[in-house]
Amino acid sequence: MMLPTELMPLFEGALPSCLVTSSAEGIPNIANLTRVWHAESHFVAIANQMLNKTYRNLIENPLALLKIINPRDFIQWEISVRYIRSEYEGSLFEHIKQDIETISWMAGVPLSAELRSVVVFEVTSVRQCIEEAIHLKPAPETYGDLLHVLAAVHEWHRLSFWIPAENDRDVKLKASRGVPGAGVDAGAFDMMKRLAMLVKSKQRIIRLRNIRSQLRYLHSIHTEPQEQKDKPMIPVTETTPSSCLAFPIRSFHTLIGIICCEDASGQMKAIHSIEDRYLVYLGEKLGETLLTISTVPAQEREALFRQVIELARLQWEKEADPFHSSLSARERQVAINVAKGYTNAEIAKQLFISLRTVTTHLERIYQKLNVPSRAALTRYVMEKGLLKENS
Amino acid sequence: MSEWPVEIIRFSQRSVPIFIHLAAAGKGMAPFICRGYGYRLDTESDWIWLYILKSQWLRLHDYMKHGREMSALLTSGIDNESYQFKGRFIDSRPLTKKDVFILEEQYSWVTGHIPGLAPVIHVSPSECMAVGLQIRSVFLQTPGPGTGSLVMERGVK
Repeated sequence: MMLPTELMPLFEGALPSCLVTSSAEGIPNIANLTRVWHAESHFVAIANQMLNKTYRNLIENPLALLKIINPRDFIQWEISVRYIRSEYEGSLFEHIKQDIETISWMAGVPLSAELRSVVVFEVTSVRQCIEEAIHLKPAPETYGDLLHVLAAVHEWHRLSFWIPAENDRDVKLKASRGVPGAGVDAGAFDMMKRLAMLVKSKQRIIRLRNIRSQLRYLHSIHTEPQEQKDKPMIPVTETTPSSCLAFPIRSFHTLIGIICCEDASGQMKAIHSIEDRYLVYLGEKLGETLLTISTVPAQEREALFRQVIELARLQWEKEADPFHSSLSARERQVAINVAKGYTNAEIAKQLFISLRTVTTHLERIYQKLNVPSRAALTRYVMEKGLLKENS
Repeated sequence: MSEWPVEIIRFSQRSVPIFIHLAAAGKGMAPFICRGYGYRLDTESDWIWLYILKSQWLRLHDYMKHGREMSALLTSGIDNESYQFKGRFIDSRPLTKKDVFILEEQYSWVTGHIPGLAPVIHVSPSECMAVGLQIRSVFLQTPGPGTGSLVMERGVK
């Protein structure tokens, strides 16, 4: 398990953190920390300069909780940890000691206490405290900024952002871009609104292709008036799009918005070449961002949205790579070991499998990744950064 | 009638933003901690009231099944002067007018000193509730040679 990259700013020591531990009797103790260090992989460490009760508690009950403020948005994160060990020397100890001494030197303040040890924890879970951010409402311009960035990145030109109404199946328009008749024609958003309502009720991505011809066909078979008061029939006009797409924006599994796009003048490819999996990532990343974006200065919003969209794209590309989508877990282990330079015999020994099985795995890996040799496989793994990711 | 130590009274009268954390735990369990948005010492007793979100109260309430021991860490956002209050959960209630005034006061101090944090702690009084602890002991937590020393101790009935 690796810690998510978005957690890394938490370990820069910008704001005080705290650690809560508990005695064997269940009495909690809170300690302020100047900084938490990311040790490696899923391990974090703190400096023990003045810890007394905390240290005794960790011996009695190794389960503890770190609460760290993200300096970017001031939202707290809960990091559940398990006490592993204390280190009194070694590279981590020296690294943390150096950090403490450097800050002390720069501040011109003598160290309040010598570093006694470095306390190492294993991270068992990570959670953003969204309940502490739920009252934050994005500025109205936020949604317009988001649509602006989406239009630039994806070449989607007719866009709208909707938020679900709390008590019924309705949705509310928050921003739009490039929609013909917006602000003039009362029915300009009829189709998008209906689409957004459908996403809200179905909680999934909706795509519609060749809408015009389908609508015309449906209208032609309505021999008797079948209009409903709350759902009038949508006429086919010059501005009726030929296809559209709508996808949910979720913040930690809760629907907080819906983005609708319509094709304008034959941009079907721009809309429908985007895969569902990418839209799921995008919806999740945007949801998490919108939750706390009110704390981000207005001039930084667009840059942040671009960064989030890029992150979603990278995550999708990574998962779409045949290394993840085609290889089995065992085949990935073999490929990684090959890239590390191990021989087949060494790999067999490490993975407790026969030499023949390693050879079979390798043949399949070559075929699935379309690489001709051991050297090509090594290059493939190295160039895509898969070695680091799986180490 | 109980009296708080002089340093605690003085600390409670400081016009500075205070970082507040309220923690609960159970035997052998991972502890719980949540943000507090304001606090008030009851001068007539050894109680302290801490204002937390109702959503956090729901999580905190789960810990009540395992014990009522709680700790609150109050830290000045200006100079790290801090105290840890340890005691037992006694009561919870909606915010009073006086609590709302304190909540707004905290918001104005945070706005003045840590503007980036202000929107995050700007919660509506209706979203909060007050949690009352009967305090058994208070420890100095200000970083320095006296860290962890006892400031106040009394029996809890």
